[in-house]
Amino acid sequence: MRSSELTVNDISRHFGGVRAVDGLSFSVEPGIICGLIGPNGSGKTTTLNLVTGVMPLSGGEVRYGDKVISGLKRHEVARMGIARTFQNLRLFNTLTVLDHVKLSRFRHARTSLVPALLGLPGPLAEDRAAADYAREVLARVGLAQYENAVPSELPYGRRKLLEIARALATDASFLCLDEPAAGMSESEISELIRLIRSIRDTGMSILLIEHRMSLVMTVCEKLVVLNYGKKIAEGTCNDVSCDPNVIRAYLGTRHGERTA
Amino acid sequence: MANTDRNRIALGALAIMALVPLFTQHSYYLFVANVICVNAILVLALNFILGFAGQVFLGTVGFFAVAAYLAALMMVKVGASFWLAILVSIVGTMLLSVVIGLPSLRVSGFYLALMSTGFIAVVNDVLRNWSPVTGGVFGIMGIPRPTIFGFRMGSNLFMYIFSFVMLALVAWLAIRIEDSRFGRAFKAVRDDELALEMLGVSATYTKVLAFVIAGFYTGIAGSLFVSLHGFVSPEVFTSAYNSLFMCMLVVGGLSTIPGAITGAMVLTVLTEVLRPLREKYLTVFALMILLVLRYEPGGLYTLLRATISRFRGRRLRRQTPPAVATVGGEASAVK
Repeated sequence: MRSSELTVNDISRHFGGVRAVDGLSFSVEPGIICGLIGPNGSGKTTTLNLVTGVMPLSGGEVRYGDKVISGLKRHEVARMGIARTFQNLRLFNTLTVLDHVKLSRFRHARTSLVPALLGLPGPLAEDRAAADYAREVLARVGLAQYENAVPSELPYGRRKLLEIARALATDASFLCLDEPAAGMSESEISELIRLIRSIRDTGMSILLIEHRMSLVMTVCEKLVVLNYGKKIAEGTCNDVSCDPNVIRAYLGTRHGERTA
Repeated sequence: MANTDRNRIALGALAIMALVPLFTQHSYYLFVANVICVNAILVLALNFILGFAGQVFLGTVGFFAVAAYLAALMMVKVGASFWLAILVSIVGTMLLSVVIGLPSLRVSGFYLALMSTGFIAVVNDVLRNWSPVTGGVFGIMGIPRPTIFGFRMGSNLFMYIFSFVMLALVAWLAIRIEDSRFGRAFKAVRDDELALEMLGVSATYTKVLAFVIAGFYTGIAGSLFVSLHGFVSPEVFTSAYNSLFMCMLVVGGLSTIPGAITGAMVLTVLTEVLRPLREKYLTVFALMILLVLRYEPGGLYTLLRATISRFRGRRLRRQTPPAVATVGGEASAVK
């Protein structure tokens, strides 16, 4: 599905007196991989939660293409073509790998309950199509041989891939990845890099939160850097890594140096 | 595979039920078998809410009471046939499920548990006090048995055949639902509501749908219940009665269809066996729940599955020719 531009306009989220996200604005142009980085507690995951409608905004607006998506219910945001993975895995513990991905097709199914139960040819064909599609997506992320396993039987890195497969199978055009490489081995990460690029090559946009700088610097075409809920830099990887504000946020200030 | 095991155990349980009339023609035993059918259908309803969708709603007996009274009123006061009565009861209970489900499913966990217990109390009070319609504490009497093409299920044997066919039908339907995309959605809303919503499926819609399907089952159970007993009064529809059905589900195997049926079979028979204990029988049930939770949280269903695979394993080993076993060792025997 073709992606549109995601525009985040002056969004805020306050928890009591804490401004987790404070007047943040940025945009993700269609078809790019945009990294969202910053030190721990800088508001990255909160930003993702605000964009995907998981928590309400304290202020500001999020647009996808020409539609305002802030204020929509969670499943309505998802129906706009936005999918995500979670920092701490949120899989369905009792469903098989194949069922996870088939569930992503739920909202694309046309047949209602009664014909589905009577086993009419229409719903049966639809279910087969969903299974075929799910298997295709599983093959794409390299989980084809695990289709009958439940999440607890998968190694950690594979569970992370299952979350990506589940998000992809919704036919989303915008994918948010929250620390996909956490807990992955080096070889799994190089696989992940290939996967992220192949996803982008289908025309999807990706918003990526990640702590592994090697991964971020390799795949991202644009970076947005947060610190204390505010944007401190935005631009290409090169621009951002030379930015004095970014260096200060990550490494601190030299002894005796005055902060600007 | 899990699904074939499920279908086999469900089929096995139903086969045992089907054979009951061959072993006994005694009216009392057939009556108990009838009660098993009604209970099993209600436990299947409970399984959709508590098992598959994982909502701690403890008010199923409230719906059961409404279903039973709707059917009774249709047959006695309106003079409708059993078939019209069951239709009204099903539709009415499904509608009520939406009305109760929409507001109460905004909360979950303890809050939902508390709310649903209140729901039973409210239904019970209405039934007791709305005398002109419900007959108050005396209830409604003279509810007829179902008739098919003029043939009346007067004896407990014919009533049993009728209830059993109903149970078999709705059990098959439940399996179809579990295997459909709706069944997957119910389990997903239980496992992780937020993750399901991020797939573009409304959690509220999913939960209310589970309620409505449970309403369908409850409507059938309620109609069979009043037709079987011939009368209905408010005193049975209490929270304790609700715990009995939850017991059946947990002992049988939470979130499994064969578990719901086997649980209803075992515990209904046990209720009859323990009748001399009067209300102390609940102590035995409480003990059973504790034992199940401690030693086999999967309930009877998991026990049966383990037995099946052990049986199959033994048979497999016997089939393996000794020559192969010595050459291939353990690996060939396992395969």
